[in-house]
Amino acid sequence: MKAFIVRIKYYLLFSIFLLGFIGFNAYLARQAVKTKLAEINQSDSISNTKGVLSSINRDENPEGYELIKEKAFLEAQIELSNSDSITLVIDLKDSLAVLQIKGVTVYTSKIIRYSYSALLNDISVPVYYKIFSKPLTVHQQLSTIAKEPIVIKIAPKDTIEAAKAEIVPDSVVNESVVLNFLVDEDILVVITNHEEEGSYFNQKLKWSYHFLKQLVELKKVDYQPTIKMVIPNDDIVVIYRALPWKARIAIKL
Amino acid sequence: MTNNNKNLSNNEASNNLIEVSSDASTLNGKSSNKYLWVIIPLEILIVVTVFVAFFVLFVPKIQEMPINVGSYDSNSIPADSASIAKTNKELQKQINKIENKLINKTPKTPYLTISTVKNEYVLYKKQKAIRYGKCSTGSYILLDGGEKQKWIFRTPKGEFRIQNKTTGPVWKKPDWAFVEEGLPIPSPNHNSRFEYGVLGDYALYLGQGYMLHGTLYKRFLGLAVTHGCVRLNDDDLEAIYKTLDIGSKVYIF
Repeated sequence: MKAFIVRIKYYLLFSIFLLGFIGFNAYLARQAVKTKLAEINQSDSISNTKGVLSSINRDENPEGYELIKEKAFLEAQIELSNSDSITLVIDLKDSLAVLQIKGVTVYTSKIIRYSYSALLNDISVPVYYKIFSKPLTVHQQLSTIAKEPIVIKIAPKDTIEAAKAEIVPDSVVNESVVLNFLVDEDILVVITNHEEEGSYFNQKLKWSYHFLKQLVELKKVDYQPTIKMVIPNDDIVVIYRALPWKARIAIKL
Repeated sequence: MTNNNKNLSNNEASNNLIEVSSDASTLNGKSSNKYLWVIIPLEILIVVTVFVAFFVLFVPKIQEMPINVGSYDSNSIPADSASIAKTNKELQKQINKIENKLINKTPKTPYLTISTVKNEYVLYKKQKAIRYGKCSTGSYILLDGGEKQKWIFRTPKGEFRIQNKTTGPVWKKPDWAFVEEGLPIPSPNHNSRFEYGVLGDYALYLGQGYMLHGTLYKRFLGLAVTHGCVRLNDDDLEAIYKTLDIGSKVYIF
């Protein structure tokens, strides 16, 4: 009986410790979002709050807010159209991911599903305009396939060797592809397909590891706003292989 | 003496009690030890499950909860319906202007888009797709000819213009064509460099040696097999040749 009571006491103490630990981490996690939001909102300069932008309150004038989003999106596209490289235009509202060259639509993919961090809904109208009225530059691209499917072929010594070394063409990508684009404001754009949706759980696991690592190393817990979309696998390959390494993207939430 | 006897008997009794209790604890210890191999892993499992569930499921949920700290748009001034309507009208006007600018980016003359991933083309006239089909683009083979001789067979991406058009094109084989076949490289204007009838009936030049032309290897259409040029079947090539003029735009992605 005594041993049982001791054990119960031990359980209670451990539960209190566990709850405390969970509560503390929940607080840190939440605080990281608030800090990130404050950082993004602070990046707004006074000049940008002047004029029509500062007069729009999304609660009073939701239509005006949608128009601001549209205007920002179009302005970003205009800037993209002046660039020589291939660009990506993502319209979440209309569920479209479009490849453009100098403002000309060359490929359109339907976005099947999408979601984005609540933080991006909480940024002020002037800050939204400031971030999304310009193309976002991709600083890092991660993918499960190669950007260029290069095959090295050593030149044959003679015609007999050349006949033997004939390569059977096969450019079809059968594997599931996941793309991660790290863009300005530390926003992560995740493009995935149906089959790979499970990998989002893996990403959460990786994130949890990152979170715990920050705790153990006594570092400030950070937060990364994410835009995630599901599009067909073939279209992901087309988008990834068309875009240059320093790609630029226009996004409308 | 009697007192001593009493003390002795008390000591014995207490010793007996100690023995009894120690036996009892041993018995309890034995019984709890018996189940320790179940209890300890179970406890560890519960703790790990709580931790994983918390970090993987709960923390992201906490972070994705709306913030709404104060108002989103604290700088905005409360507006009446008349000023809201005026603002929205002004915004709509600006949007229409930008939209027109963007629409004007798309050529009014016929143009062609080519996907190097899907190996498909779309021909546009009056900004509408009028024909589409399969083609072949660069194979991404890196031919290593040694002695600083390396060629990569990729189709360039971006916006191009038709530089020239010709019927009955003759292929002047470049050096790599000989290296690839294991043949010695002939002089620049040697007879063996000229091949007739291998490029189909028409060729449209994109510049830098790249062409849209026909092929003898029609079974490979839809696959990435070329040395950088775009191969088309006879009917498609004829339609494109007749639709596109010199100066027409070709978008490759």
